[in-house]
Amino acid sequence: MLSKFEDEDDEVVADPDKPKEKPAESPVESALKQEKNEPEVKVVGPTIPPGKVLVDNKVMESLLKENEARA
Amino acid sequence: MAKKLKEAKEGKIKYVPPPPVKVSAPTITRDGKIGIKFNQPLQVPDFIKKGQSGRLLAEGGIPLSEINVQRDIIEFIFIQKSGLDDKIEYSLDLDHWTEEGMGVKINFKNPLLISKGKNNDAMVSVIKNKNLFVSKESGEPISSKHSTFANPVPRQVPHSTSIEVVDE
Repeated sequence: MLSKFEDEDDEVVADPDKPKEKPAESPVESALKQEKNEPEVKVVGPTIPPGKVLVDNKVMESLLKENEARA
Repeated sequence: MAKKLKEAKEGKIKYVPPPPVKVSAPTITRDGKIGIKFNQPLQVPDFIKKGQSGRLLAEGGIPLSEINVQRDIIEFIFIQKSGLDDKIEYSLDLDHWTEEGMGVKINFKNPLLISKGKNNDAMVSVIKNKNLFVSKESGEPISSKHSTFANPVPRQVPHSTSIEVVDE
């Protein structure tokens, strides 16, 4: 038999004094995290080497649309 | 796939759909190769398949060397945490693309500047076009939740140095 303190409908109340657990850090958050006493991180994008032939944006767009329609 | 669905409709088997599409965090080698793995076979886009088999644009194929990885496939963002005065420059090449995964080569202009400080530099990768990462079985594309991943970039070996020799 349940005592008056163990009613099955009772909600479990978190201990207000207990510090909340931090959610796990994602790899992206960890990559972007700035280490203590370190200067700011710098974000660098890639470049396209001069003379490199790349497919035209419009041609690519139409191929991507074709691909989407096929999927 | 069609056979499985048909059998499931007829009640012969219980069809269990595949899990959501995920790309596992890539490994980056000391010579700048990123190996991206899929958690299940994905459809290889037609223009990639044709390009890899040597067919030209007129035949609907694009050679991998002409793909603008950053603009059309995956956005790569290099996070420089070490040697902040050094100017890092790099370009990207799509190396291969199969149902199981894909390979991208990072060509660092000066590989010796990478992760040279106390903290390793990192690479954040964001899939730009989710419709290029579609499950072969379910036809479902990768979700936004699983489209971003990050990895530390190890120290790099100089150009034309074999990593096998360095790692020995």
